[in-house]
Amino acid sequence: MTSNTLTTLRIGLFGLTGIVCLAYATLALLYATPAPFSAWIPGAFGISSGVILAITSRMAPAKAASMTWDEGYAADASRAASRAFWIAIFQYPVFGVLMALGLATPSVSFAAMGTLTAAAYLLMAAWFDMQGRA
Amino acid sequence: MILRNTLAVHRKTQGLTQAQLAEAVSVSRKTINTVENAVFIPSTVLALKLARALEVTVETLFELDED
Repeated sequence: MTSNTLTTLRIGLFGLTGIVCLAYATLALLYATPAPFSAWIPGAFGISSGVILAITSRMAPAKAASMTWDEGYAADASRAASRAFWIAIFQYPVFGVLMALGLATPSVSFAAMGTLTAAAYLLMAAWFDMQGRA
Repeated sequence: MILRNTLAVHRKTQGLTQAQLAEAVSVSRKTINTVENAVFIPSTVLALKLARALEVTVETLFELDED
């Protein structure tokens, strides 16, 4: 298992889990339901991704794991977290307006906001991770 | 104030690829690439490792441009 393989796996799992979260939020809003599909699915993807990454990193040679989870990755993850934080904050006024206009119920907003925040972090982390690898 | 670096020049002088230098200091090739392009400022520890791997001082690799 090389550093490149681990990095590709990380980008793929973060991206896939981010897409599942984004799909959940989008479908919740479109169909006005807090559970457009099983509410366990986004969480299951997240936990599975974490477990897979932890196991593969443990199985890989220590140097490859160290190269994969280096300070460059930490900087990208930190950048994604800081932007996702502001996206999460910005959702409060947006969903406040949607609820005031009767376009979303509190339960739908709660479901959409939670998964949108996760999607924002995961998709940005995957995007930042991809940049500069060409 | 801008942090300039001569990492690419010294790496090429040593005949190393980005991947080889990354392997030598245990970081990803992307991290070396982003340091060379001044996108990412490395930690003191990484700067010292890079200097050691390239057999130069940290001040030779990195300098502050006051402009």
